Amino acid sequence: MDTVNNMSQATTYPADNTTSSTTGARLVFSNIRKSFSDTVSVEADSLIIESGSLTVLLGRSGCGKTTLLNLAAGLDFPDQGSVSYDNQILQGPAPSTTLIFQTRNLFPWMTAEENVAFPLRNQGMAKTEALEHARQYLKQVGLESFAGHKPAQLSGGMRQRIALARTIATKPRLLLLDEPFSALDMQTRRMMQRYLLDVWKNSGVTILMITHDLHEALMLADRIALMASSPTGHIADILDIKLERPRDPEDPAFRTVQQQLDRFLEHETLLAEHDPTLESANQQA
Amino acid sequence: MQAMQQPRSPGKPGQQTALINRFTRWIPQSNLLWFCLAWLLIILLWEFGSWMEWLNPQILPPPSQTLPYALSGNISIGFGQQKTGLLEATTITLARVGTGMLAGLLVASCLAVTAIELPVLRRLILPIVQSLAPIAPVAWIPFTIAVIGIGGQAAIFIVFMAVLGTMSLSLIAALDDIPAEYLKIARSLGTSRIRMWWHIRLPAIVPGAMTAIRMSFFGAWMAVLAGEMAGINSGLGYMIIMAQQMYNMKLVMIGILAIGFIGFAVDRLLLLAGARLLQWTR
Repeated sequence: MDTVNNMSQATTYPADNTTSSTTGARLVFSNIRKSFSDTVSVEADSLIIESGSLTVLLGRSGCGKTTLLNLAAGLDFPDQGSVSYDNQILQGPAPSTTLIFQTRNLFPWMTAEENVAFPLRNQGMAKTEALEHARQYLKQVGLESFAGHKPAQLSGGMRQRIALARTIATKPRLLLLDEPFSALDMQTRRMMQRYLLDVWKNSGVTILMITHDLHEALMLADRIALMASSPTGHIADILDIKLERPRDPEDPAFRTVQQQLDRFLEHETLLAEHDPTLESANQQA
Repeated sequence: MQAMQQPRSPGKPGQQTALINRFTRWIPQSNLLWFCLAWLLIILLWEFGSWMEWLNPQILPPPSQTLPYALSGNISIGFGQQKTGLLEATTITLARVGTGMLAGLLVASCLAVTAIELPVLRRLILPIVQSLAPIAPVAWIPFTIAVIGIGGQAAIFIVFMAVLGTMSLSLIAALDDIPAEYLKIARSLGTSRIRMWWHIRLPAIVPGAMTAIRMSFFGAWMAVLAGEMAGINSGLGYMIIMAQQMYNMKLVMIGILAIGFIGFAVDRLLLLAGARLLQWTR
């Protein structure tokens, strides 16, 4: 398992005039066993997520992707094995880590700027200062004119952009994304992918992202961990994606990798269709 | 069809239909109008029943006697120390409900916070509130009068017991129902325990809590009136019983109507307060 694209160089955030910089966290999953019930469990023998890399967990629903993400966040703990964050075994919520989900990323009772200011207030920043900063971060995602709006008044894409703005505000070292763009239309999704890549390039943050969208995985990932669900959820293969950026879906190299992955996913689907226990597991998950 | 359209077509049909449209649209939308209409109908039926001598005016005096009496401003019952006016009685009863509900809400909140923060104690708290909740509020009246007596504290205690179980259960359920994403995100954003309660959990349960408060108000309102009728020596319920004993049926009717109107008004007020708190859902 060689590592590629080590992008751990420290970079400054564009919004900040200060010299604050960050290095992405390095995550290591080793010999993980985690089960929820008799039917749902996940294994990960060895998955190393290098500092500043962008790793995508790709697989169908029910193969334990979200479980691995919760373990990485330190919000859940394995039955066996360990997750280490910069060589420290995680015992609680991972430090400097931000989560973005498919929906419900913003607290609906707060305005856009209050949402972005919330983590700054957690760090003890004064209210007016935090709101001032929040508007700067909103400006970066082009939504400064919606600072006073409540999430219910905004579109799904806008909400995800605000979540991304809040992520930039917290200067995380690890960004965990659980199918963040699945609920968006295709154009918005493409735009959000570009935003995400910008944040990643400008910050050096380590990103672990879940998706079931093959195209999205190929557009973004340094590495793709392919997850299979039979007999239990596990990492079937880890691929280094060495395509040049910005990536072009029309590029023959892109298509070759896409076809390769397509075949794997199709095989995985066929396996699952012949495994009745798995279907029930999927329904539960 | 043609015959019906003919009288309309001369003149200015557009203007006329616009006016009618506006009127017909306004009627079904105005809750207040429907409210008044419904009550007008009841009062008319009541008056008509008395006039036709279906109802004995000695027992059920018609509105033409009751309403002027209600508006005379001098409605009270009893003599000397026992003298109770409508306004005074209503204020006493409302204050009891308010105090008891506030105390209930406070204790229920403490129980709910404990149940969430300390899973061990949750196992102790849940069976208690689960067995308190189904007890009918009026069932506490004999116990309370025996133990505390017939003063104001007894009424407040009845309200407190009436709301404690259901409020605790509703609050715990609302806290359990907070979407996991909010809590996960808040935790990963480094939210302290106190900020977690104040800025995440509290606003997230406001819808559930408002419904719980409205529902328990009805229970509390009924329980306190029943308590006042059963022995507690002041308040709206007591006034009605006194009026009945002194054969002032007009006052009995006014008391009953007051119970209904105040209950309705408080529920509306709670609903409005809830809507204000819940602006973020829209």
